[in-house]
Parts: sequence; C-alpha cells; structure tokens
Amino acid sequence: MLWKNTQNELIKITSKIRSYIGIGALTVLILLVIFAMQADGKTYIGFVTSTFEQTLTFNGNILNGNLIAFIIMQMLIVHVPLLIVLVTGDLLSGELASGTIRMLATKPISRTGIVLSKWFAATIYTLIMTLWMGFLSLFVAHWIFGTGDLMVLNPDGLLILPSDDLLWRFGISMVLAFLALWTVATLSLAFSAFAKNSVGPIVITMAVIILFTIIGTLDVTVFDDLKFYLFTTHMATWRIVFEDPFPTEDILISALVLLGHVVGLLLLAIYRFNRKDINA
Amino acid sequence: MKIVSLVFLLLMFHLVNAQTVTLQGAIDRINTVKDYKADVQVKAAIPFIKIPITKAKVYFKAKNKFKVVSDNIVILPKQGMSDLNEFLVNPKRYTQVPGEYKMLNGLKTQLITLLPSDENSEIILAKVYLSAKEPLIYRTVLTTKSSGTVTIDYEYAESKAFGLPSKMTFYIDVRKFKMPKSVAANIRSTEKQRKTEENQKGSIVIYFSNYQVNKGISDSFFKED
Amino acid sequence: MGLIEVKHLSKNFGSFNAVKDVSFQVNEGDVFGFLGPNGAGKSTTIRCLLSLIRPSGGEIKFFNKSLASHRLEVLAKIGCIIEKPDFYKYLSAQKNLELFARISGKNIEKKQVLEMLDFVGLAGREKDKVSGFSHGMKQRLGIAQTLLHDPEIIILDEPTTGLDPQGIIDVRNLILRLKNERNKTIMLSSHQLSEIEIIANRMVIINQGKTIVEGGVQELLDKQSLNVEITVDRPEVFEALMADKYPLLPVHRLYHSTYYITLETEERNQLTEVMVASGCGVRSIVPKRSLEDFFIKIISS
Repeated sequence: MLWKNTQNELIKITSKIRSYIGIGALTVLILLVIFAMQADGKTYIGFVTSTFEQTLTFNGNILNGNLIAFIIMQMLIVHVPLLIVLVTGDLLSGELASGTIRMLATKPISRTGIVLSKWFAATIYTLIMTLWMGFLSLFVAHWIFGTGDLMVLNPDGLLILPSDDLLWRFGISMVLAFLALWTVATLSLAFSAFAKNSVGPIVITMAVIILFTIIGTLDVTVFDDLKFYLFTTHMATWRIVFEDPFPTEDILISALVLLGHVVGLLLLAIYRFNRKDINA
Repeated sequence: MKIVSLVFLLLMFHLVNAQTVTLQGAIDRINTVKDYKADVQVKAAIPFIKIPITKAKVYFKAKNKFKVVSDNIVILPKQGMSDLNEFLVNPKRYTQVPGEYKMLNGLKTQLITLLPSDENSEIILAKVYLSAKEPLIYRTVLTTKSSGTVTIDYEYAESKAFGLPSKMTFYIDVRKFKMPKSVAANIRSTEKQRKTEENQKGSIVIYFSNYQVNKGISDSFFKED
Repeated sequence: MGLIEVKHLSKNFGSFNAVKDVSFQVNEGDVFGFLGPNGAGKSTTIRCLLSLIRPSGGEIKFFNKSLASHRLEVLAKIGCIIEKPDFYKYLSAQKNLELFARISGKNIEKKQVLEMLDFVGLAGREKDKVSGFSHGMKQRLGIAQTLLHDPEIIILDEPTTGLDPQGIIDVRNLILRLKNERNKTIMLSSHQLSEIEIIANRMVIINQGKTIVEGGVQELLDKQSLNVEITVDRPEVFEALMADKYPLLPVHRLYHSTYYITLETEERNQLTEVMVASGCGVRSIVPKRSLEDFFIKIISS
C-alpha cells in the first residue's frame, strides 16, 4: 500500500505544473550563469585574481567547467530550496486546502503511510532536482568550458585542486547537497502537516532558512555555539568537500546532523498528521 | 689525437676562467638564445594560495615573447621571467654600478647594481649577483614599482651554455588577500577568519628540463588564444 | 447484528462540545438516514465514523469490530463522500479514479474503472480534467469513487447539497438502485426530513450533539402529526367542510385557495375521501414535514 500510494504521489507531482516550475527555473538559472560566464567570465575571474595580479600570473584554463559547476552550486544552494519547497510544502497542506485529503484519509492506508509515501515522493523529487542540477552544472558546463583544475574561491584565499582529483569530490558534494535539500523538503513537509493551505508552509520554510542563514553568517559571538545546531550551517557542507586536506570528520558530522534533521522532522510530521483532526 | 684535444680544451677552459667575468658576458650568453622551449615543474608556496605541484611547457622567443601551456592552472611570478631578460639585454636602459664580492651558497659572486636610466621604468632597482667564475647570474633582486621586491635565485645544469637555468626560486611579497564577498559567499564560515598582515612572503620554485634551444618558434604561436 | 454501532460518541474541540452523546445502529441492508439540523454534529459524527476525527469518547464498531483497532480493515469495506467530493482538479476523471482504486485495498482493473464511469453516466468524459466538471458531475464521480471497490457500507454526507432538482433526483435514484440492485447498506446524512422520508427505511435524529430519536422512518413519522398544504378549486365549500367536520383543526389560509393544515394520524386517511365527496375540487395535497416541527413535536412529547 505504501508503494502504491507513493506511485500515486509521484503521479500527482508529475501532473502538477508547479513541479516543472522548479526544474524549469533551475534550468534557466543554470543556463543563465553559464551564458554569463561565457560572456564575461574573465572579468569574474579578474575579481578573484586582482589581489595577486601585480605579483603573479595565473596561466591555464581557469574558467573551466569545474569552476562553473562550483560557482553554480554556490549560487544555487540558496535558491534551489525555494524551488523544492514549492512542491514539497504543498504535499500535505495542498490536499487539506483542496479537500482531497478527505478522500485520501478514508482509504485503507494509515496516516503514517500517507506521510511516508508523500515523503518518499518528496525524496524522489529532491533527488531528481539534485541530479538535474548536477547534470546541468557539471556536464553542460564541461561541454561548453572544458575541464581543468578547480580554483576554489574561499574567503581566506584560493585553493587549486587538480582536475583529476575533482570528480569524486563533486560526487560527494552532490550527495551532501542532496542531504541539505532533503532536509529542507522534509522541513516543509513537517510544516505542511501543521497547515491548512500550502502558502504557509512554503513561506515559513523559506523564512526559517533565511533566518538561520543570517544567524549563521553573523559574526557575533553570542550565536557561535548556536551555529552548529542550525541545519543551514550544514547545508553548506558540500563546499568543504573542496577543501584540502579533505575534512572527513566535519563532513561526516554534518551529514549526520542533516540526516538527524530529516529523521526528526519526518517523525514530527508523522506524529502531527496522526493526531490531526481532518475538518477540511 | 684525443689526448691533444683534451689538453687543448683544458687550456682553453683555464684561459676563459682566468678572464674577468662581466655582466656583458652573461648578456652575451643570454643573447645566443633566440628561442627556447622547456618542460617546467612549478612548486608554489604562496600565502593565501594552496596549489599542488604543476607541470607545464614554457615557450620563449626573443626579445619578450613568453607563453605557458598547461592542462593545469600554473601560477608564475609576474616579474623576473622574460621581462628581466629584456631589461638586461638592453644596456642602454641602465647604469651598472659594480659592487663588492659576496659568497652566495658557497659561490663567489660579484654584486652589480643596475640603476635604470629611464625615470618611468617599471624596474626601480636591480641587483645582480654574477658568478666570479663564469658569466652566469646566480641571484637577482628586482625592485619594481608595482610588485615590490622580488628575489630570484638561479641554478644551472644542462643549458648553462645558453645562460638558461635549471631551477629558479622566486621570493615574492604577496599583498593581503581580500576575496570579494559576492564571489566567495560561504555561509559555513563558523570560524573566525585569521587576521593577516598586510604583506606576506611567498616563494615559487620552477624546475626546468628538456630545453630545446633555437629550434625556431613562429610568432603566431604566442598570439593569445 | 448492526453493521455500524455507535455508542455514546462524543467529540470536543477545545471547550466546544460538537458531539455530546450520539448512539445509533445501522443494520445490514438499511438505507439509514442520519438526520439533524445544521450544526447538530452530523458531519463531526460521520468524520469520527471514518476516522478523519479522533473521538473524545464513546465507541464505534463496524462489523462488530472496534474502529480504533481495525481501522484499515474497516475502511477497506467502506465507500464514502464527505461534504462534497473533491478531486485532483489537474487530473482526468479516469486518472482520479485510478488513483483511488490503487489504494482501495482491492485489485481494480482499468476496465472496471471505465465501467464505473459508465454506471454513473460519465462515459465519454473520462479523459476530461475534473477542473471542468460541474458540481453534479463531481458528485457522480464521487459516487463512482465510492462504489469502485465494491464496499459493503456506503456513507454519504449530505449527498444532494448544492445539486439542481434533476441532480437531486439522479442521486436519489442512484441510492435506491444501490440498495435494490447491489444490496448495499447505505448511511446518508441530511438536514431535510422529506429527503430521508423518501429513501430511508431507518433513521436517527440528532440535535445539539445528542441523539433525539432512532427507529424506522415510517414508524416514527406515523406517530406524528402531518402538515399539509391543500389547494382547492372552491375555497368556500372547503372552509364550510372544515368548519363542519373538523372544527378543532387549525386551518390557515395561505393564498386565495391554498390552506395549511396540521393533521393528526387518525385524521389523515379520512380527509382525502371527505374532501373529494364534498365537491370542493381538490387540486393538490402536499405534505409539508419540516424537521423543526418534527423536533418540537418529539421534544415536547
């Protein structure tokens, strides 16, 4: 029954226009970045190397597919969650708003089963979005810009990683980006279990992400201890995959924190939905 | 016959050695190089930049055409590669002030200070440590308007006859690094960034091998891609 | 044995007691009317029956099994429409039914889905998106969804609300067909006594969250007085007749030749004959049974 309802949820997702808004917007965003980089990428690189340009010269293909993919991921990690919650924030609350929840909840499937099947569908949608982002940013960028060493732009300096050391890093960063987006999707699903319309969970999820991100970036000592517990801090862990030496422990901790959030939020959604009176 | 030849060579070597080494001698060697191509390995230890050892091919054509070809990102010093040679081979651009002899890594060298004749020259001051034994430069200290001071140490092997080094070590000043925030948005910056001094010292070591000298390289090769 | 047994059901929303004490029993083969004025607690009770709402107290049993502990087993044998049938508007009628069929607990073929659409008169519209359907069409699609998995019990919450007269007739006929042709047990809620009177054999009436009365429809109605609207050709003859034969009956003249009369049980059968014999020219006798009146009578008795 769980799998059958997951199938249903996937049919619903694929039949809704809003599901394609995310993929369409993602595609446009990535192609825009690629176009912008093709048109004016050298100026962008100039911003980075200007500090050194009086002393050093940078030779080789700096503006390559790997750097473009890295820049795209850096830019999109803030925006892709919005595109994902457009769909996942609507999964439960949308049914409440439209009244279809009455039909669904009177079928021989448990409330837990309903939440789980929606969560599975959300997971698959998030996975597709992540893979699409990876495909566009990595493969299309490589196709246009070619390969080369990656110049990682860190606030405290540059790290150049050899091109043959990158594919596995991109692989792990995609896994971590997926974990981050999965957390956001599950968060919106949890909010969705509390709401009666889909606007609320979408707006609240984005507000939480923005608030946590701001707290995370504020250089105020008061928040230092808090930062570790904010999932947004760990949402950017995909980036430290491109550090040298490879910070295995930090990555594992962040992955566990994100997974913990996913499990915790899913349990919250299940608990809430099981106790919910459907008056709609 | 072979023995006669050997004795002749030794005699010649002694005679050459006995001659006073001048900067012009070094310049003459440099001037014999119309072009060259070489494999390089670059090992950079620059503050704010972490880069693995990279390989590249470098191409040079007199007077000042220089090109680096590599699949990797290669960081080279801006001053001291081809521009120094261009400066040296044109004696009208500076006045030589011969200085005292100094020991440099166990080698006797003479310090020659070059004062640019042109006030607008990028190079403000150049100090050249010339071997007392043969016309080869073992250290230059370049002070430029824009890049501060760059010290270059040279080692020679197979292509010393052309005055081409097998190893160059650059000691450079790197200005304080500041990444534009829009470029390196890192929402994970939980640690305080360490304060850096205004300028820090860095070094770049370039190992040259497989020199191919005066084989001819067309001008078009040096045009920007 | 009661297929549905509800005992002392209660449901509180915070300090508001929506259902205080509702008990009834639906037997196999019943068309059971669940009657009550708006706000009586009908919807809340039905939602409790379908486990959309958790009851605060009492007991619900289906097939002699507790709903709380056999929820999925019970729901697999129930078809329902709550309030109004809402579908995924962006999907076609057929896709909607296929979706619900997949989670109905039974293996339902595509052919059966199409047959069901045909049964409710939606053949030819199966590929159309539900967003373009009228309320009546949605109601029929809702009934198709209800019947798809061949449930033993059908629960319909105000099934004729919002329908046009033809739609109301269609739904009533469909309910009767379900009872007669498919032998289903049907429970339907309504706030209109006349509707229940037409199609139900048993009923319960609730008010303010409490059961008022339960029993056979005819049995209950027969005990009560009946309001009728009588229109005649010759009012003066009719008035004279009433004054002569039924001087104690209150007769209200509504229009020129239309009267409103409350008849006790024993007077009902004779009146028509007496009127015809009097030559007052009976044009119509329309029973006007209002739930409110019925309540007043029951409560006062």
